[in-house]
Amino acid sequence: MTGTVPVIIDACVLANFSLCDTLLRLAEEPRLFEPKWSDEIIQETTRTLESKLHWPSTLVAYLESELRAHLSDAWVSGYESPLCAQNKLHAQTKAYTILLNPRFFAGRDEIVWEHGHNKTVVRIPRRPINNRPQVNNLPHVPATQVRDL
Amino acid sequence: MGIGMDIRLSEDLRSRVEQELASGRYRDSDEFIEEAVRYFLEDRQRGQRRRDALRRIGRAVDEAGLYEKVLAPSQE
Repeated sequence: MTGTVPVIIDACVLANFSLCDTLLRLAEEPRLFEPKWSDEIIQETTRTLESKLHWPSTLVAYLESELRAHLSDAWVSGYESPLCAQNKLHAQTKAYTILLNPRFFAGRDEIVWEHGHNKTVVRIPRRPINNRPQVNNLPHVPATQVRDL
Repeated sequence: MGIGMDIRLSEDLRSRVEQELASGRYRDSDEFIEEAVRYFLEDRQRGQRRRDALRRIGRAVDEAGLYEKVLAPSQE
């Protein structure tokens, strides 16, 4: 996969499968971005799918095996650093950000877009997606709050 | 022994090919073009396999009735 914009896909996004599916399809031609995650993100995702969303373990294992087989380029490693000790809650995210220098970070709550020396944060409302997203009919993501950092 | 093909490139692409050849990593333009075409075809195949995998995953999750099941904020 040779997308030009690396984007960290966090577990809170991957575990919400309709959103995960939409984003991963957008990462295909014409490759709007290049999805990235780590072993820890996948572990958190699979743990969440089983324990909180009650996916059968066979389905979780199938999802992980397919991701490993066909989206292996998404895995990142080598980010382990003292950063992880500084802030346990978001240490991994910070480490990935520094490692990959992504211009976007897609989390459940916000999408961060870096342009030049500025960053724009789009807050996503915390509510479930009720309609199945279609690749050719993407749901509108209202920006309830946009601010420059 | 390969089959000869007459390939015309834009000035920009031709310039970039010549830059690559100047790096010394390729024996000649034939070798470079062959590698580029092979990479393109393999990359396209990988993309098709990824899309097939996404379709299979989506179908499996849908059949399990879990496609639209999402985490409530209180579950996170």
